[in-house]
Amino acid sequence: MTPLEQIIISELPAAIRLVRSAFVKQNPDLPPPTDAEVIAVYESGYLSSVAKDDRIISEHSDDINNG
Amino acid sequence: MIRKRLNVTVLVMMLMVPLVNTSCANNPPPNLSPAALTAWNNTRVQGVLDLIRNTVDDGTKTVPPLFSGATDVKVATWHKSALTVIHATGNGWKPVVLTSLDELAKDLPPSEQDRLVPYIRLAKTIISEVKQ
Repeated sequence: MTPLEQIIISELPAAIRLVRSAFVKQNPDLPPPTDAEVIAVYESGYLSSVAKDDRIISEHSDDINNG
Repeated sequence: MIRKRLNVTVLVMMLMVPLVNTSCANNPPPNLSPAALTAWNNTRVQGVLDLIRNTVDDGTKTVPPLFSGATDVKVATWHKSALTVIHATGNGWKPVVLTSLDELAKDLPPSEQDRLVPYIRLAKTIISEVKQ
């Protein structure tokens, strides 16, 4: 498997989820999300994503420090 | 062979751009307050920026690596800055983030730039659709 195929396989599900979310219609039988729920999803996503950035930066700093 | 596969990837990503473009701004849940609508839009943008970061990070682990460790740090640093600006500003961040995407692309080695450009285009499309 080529490196590009590896990366396509690893990232395409996320990309497909992103595109599919653009087509999801609100189910009329389910209540729409509340303001608090929408904001909570955003805030938790922000925190976990920034934490991952810090982890990546830290890992590469460790690589440099360890030679 | 790799160039052929890259062209396939570019084609797939370019097909995704108009699909997202036609529907991106039309699905917010009804009756959201302005703050929650901002959070909803920003969540979608965050998702596509995460895709760029994750693609590069995963690409450092392939054999051979598609992206260097230096690029991984560069993109993670950019990503963190972009998310922080969006989170702190709420609205009005579009020009800053769109410009930062262009600057990020320019700052990469040509081979890595080619691989990341489809994702950057997708991000710019989604961001452009956000109403502020």
